[in-house]
Amino acid sequence: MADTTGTSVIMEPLDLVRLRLDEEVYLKLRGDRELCGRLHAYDQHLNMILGNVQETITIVDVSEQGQGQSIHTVNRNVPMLFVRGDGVILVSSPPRTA
Amino acid sequence: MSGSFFGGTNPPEDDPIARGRAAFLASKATDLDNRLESLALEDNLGDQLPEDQDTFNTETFDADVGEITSGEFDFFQNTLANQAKMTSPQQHQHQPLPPPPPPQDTMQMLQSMGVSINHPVVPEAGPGSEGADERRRITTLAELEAKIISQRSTPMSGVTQPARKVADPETIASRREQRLERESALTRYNNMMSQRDKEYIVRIQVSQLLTDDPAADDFYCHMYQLSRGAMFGAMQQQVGVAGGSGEATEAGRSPSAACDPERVALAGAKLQNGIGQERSAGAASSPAPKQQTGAERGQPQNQHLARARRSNTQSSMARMQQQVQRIVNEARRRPKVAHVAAEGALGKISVTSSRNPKQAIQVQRSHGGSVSQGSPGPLTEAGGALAGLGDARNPTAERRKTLRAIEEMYTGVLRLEQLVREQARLPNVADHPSVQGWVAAYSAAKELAWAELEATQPILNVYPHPLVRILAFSKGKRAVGRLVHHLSMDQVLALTTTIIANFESLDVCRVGSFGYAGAAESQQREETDLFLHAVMPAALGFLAEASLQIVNGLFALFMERNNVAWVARTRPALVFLVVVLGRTAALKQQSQQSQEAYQAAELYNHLFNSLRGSLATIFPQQPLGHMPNPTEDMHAWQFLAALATAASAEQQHALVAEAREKVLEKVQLAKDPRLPAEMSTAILTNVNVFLNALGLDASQVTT
Repeated sequence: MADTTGTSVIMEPLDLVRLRLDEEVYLKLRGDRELCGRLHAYDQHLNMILGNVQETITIVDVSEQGQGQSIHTVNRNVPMLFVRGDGVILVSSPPRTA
Repeated sequence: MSGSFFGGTNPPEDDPIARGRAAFLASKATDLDNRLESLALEDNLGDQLPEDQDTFNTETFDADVGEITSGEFDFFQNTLANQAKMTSPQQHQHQPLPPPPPPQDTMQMLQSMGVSINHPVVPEAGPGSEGADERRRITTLAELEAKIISQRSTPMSGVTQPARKVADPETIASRREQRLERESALTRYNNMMSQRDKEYIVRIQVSQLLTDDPAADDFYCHMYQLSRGAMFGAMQQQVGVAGGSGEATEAGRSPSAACDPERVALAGAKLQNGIGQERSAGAASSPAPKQQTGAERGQPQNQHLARARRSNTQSSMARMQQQVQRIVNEARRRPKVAHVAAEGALGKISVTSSRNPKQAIQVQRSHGGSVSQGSPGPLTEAGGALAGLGDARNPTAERRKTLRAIEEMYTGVLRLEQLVREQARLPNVADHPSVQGWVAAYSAAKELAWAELEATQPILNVYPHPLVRILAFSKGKRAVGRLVHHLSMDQVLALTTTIIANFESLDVCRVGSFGYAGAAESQQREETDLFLHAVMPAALGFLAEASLQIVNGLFALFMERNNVAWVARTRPALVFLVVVLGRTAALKQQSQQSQEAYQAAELYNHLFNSLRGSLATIFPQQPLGHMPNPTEDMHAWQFLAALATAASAEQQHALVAEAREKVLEKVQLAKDPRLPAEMSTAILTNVNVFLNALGLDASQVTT
C-alpha cells in the first residue's frame, strides 16, 4: 500500500490501519465476533489477513418463557486467517489486559 | 466487418459450430457489436446450437436414439445380436473383433499359446440371434481367462510359478482391460472442438491475464517463490535483490504499481516462461512414472503412450506460447480503454474488470491532516522544559509518531527497491533524461527514509533517541535492515555511531537479554535475534572495513556512553565487542607503534578494568530445571576468547581466575553421563573457544 506521490503517509483514516501493520489488532466483526491477532495485510475494503488469531464468539442463550438470558463466549485459535472486509465493524488495538 | 477481433477470415469449416459462428458474424456485423464483442469476447453462440438432434450418437453407435434410450443398454441383448448380424457365418478361425474386442496383442498372445479362440460357449439367448454357431463363437473374456488357466496349468506344472503376480496372464489381461476402459473413458468425447475453437477459448482466457505491470501484479507470487528458494518460473532478473528477508508482513509490502505499457510484453514473456517451465516440470515428471511402470511390465504399448503424451503437452505448450505472443501483440496494438463511447451514442459504456473496479464511494483527500503535521524535530525543540520528556507525557502519541516514522521509512525503502528493479531496464547512457529522472527519484526516496532515522544527530535531548524508538519495533528493525543496502558509507557510519551512542537504551539491551521467563523471554529472544540478523551485520560489516582511528573512536564512544559492565550482559553488546576487539587486534598487527595502536591498547585496558570482577555475569542465567542449550553461551565464550587474545599476561591470569568456576562447571556438565553426546561435545567446543585462546584445552582441565 505504498504511496506513489510524494505526500505524507497519513492522509485518511485507513492509513491509521497502516500504522498497525505487523502489530496486534483487535477487530470487532458482525455476528458478535471479536478477533485478536497480528495484522499482516489489509486493503481498502478492510479485507485483512491476520496471524495467530484468537476469535471470540459471544452467544446469548435466551431460555424459553423468558426466564433469563445467559451469555457465554466461545473461543477459537487460528494460526492464519483471511477476513472479508464487509464483516469488519471496527479495528483497534488490543485491550491492555494481557 | 467479417473478421473477428482475434481470428482471421477463414472459410467456415465443416463443423457446425464454426459454421454457426461465421453466420452470426456475417448477419449482425455492426461496428458497435464488434467492438463490444472484442471487449467482452462473448458471442452467445451456445444459443445457436441445435440441441434437439443427437447427431453424434448417430455417428458413434449407428443406432436410432429411440432404440438406445428405450431400455437398458445390455450387451447380451443388443450388441451381441448386432454383432452376430455383422459377422459372417464362415469365419471360424480368426475373428479379429469378437465383442468386447480384446486388443491385438492379447489375441496374438493367446494364439501364440495355442488357445483356440472359438471354443464354443453359449451365452444367454437374445432376441434375433441367427444360430448357435455365431453365439458360440462369441466368448467373453472371462471364459477366455478360464481357458487360459486350464491350458496353462498342464504345460507349466513343472515350472515354478514366478513370484510376481504381474507375470500371470490373467491379471495382465484384466489390467489391460481396465486400462483400456480408463483410456476409452477419457477419449470418448474427444475431437468435439476444432483446433480453431480451442485456440479461441484459450485466447480469451489468456487475454484476461495480461497486465500492465507484471512485476507489481505478481509481486506476492514472486516473493513467495523467492523466499521458498523455488526453482520454477520466476524471472529472477526482473525481481531483483530485495525481498527475501522477513516474514509475511514484510514480504507482503508490495511496491506501488507503476504504469508502463512496455511491460505488457514482459507479461507475455513471463507468462510464457512461467507456463513453459511449469508445464515442462509437470510434463517431465508425469511421463517418468509411466515409463517406470511400462518398464516393469515390459509392454511396448505403455512407452509409446508416454512418448505421445509428452510430445502432446510440449506441442500444446508451444501452441500456448504462440497464443500469448499473438495476444500481447494485439494488446499492444490496441490498448484496453476503460470506457467505450460509440459515435452517435448518448453515453459511455464502462468496461469493468478487476483492474478498474466500479468506484463505490468518493473520498476527498485533504492535505495536511492533523496527524501528519510536524515531524518530531521541531516539536521537541519547541517543547522547552518538557522537551526531554516527550516519552513520558504522552506515550501513545509518541508511539504513533514512531510508527508513522517507520511507515515513512517503508515508503522510502519500497520505492528504492522498486527503482532498483527498474534500474536493469534503463539505458546505459549517463545523461539520458530517464536515467537522470531515475537518479533523482532514487535519491529522493533515500532522503525520505534517511530523514526519519535522524541518525545525523547521535545525541539528542530526546530520550530515547528516535532511532532507538524505531528499532524498538520488529518492523523497524527489518526496515532498517533493508535500508542499509542503499546507504552510503558516511550514512552507515552515522547510523553505527548513533546506535553505539545509544546502545544502552536499545530495547534488546534494556533489561538484559536474560532473566525473563515464559513468553516474554521467547519474545525478547526473537527481538534480539532479529536485531542481530537485520541491523548488526550492516554496522559490523562497516566496522570490519574501517580504519583503526574510526574503530577506536567508536570503541571509546561505546564505553563512554554506556555502562559497560551492565550492558555486557546482553548479547548484542558482546557481539559488538567481539567484532571491535578482533578488528583492533588485526589492525594493531599492521601498525604496531602508531598513535592509534597505543590508543587501542588504552581502550582495551579500560574495558578490562571495567569488566573486572563481573566477568561471570556475562553468561546467560539459566532458569532452574531448564535444559542447558549449548549454543546460548557461545557469544560469551567468544568474547572471553577475544579478550584473552589481546590480554597481557597479568590480565590473562585475572581472566582465568574469574572464569575458572564457569569453565569447571561447564566441563563437569559435559562429562555428565545423562547428557546426550552431541550436547557434551557442543559444550566442550564452546569452552574450548576460550581455552584455546589462552593456549589451553578442555581436556587439560581436571575436575
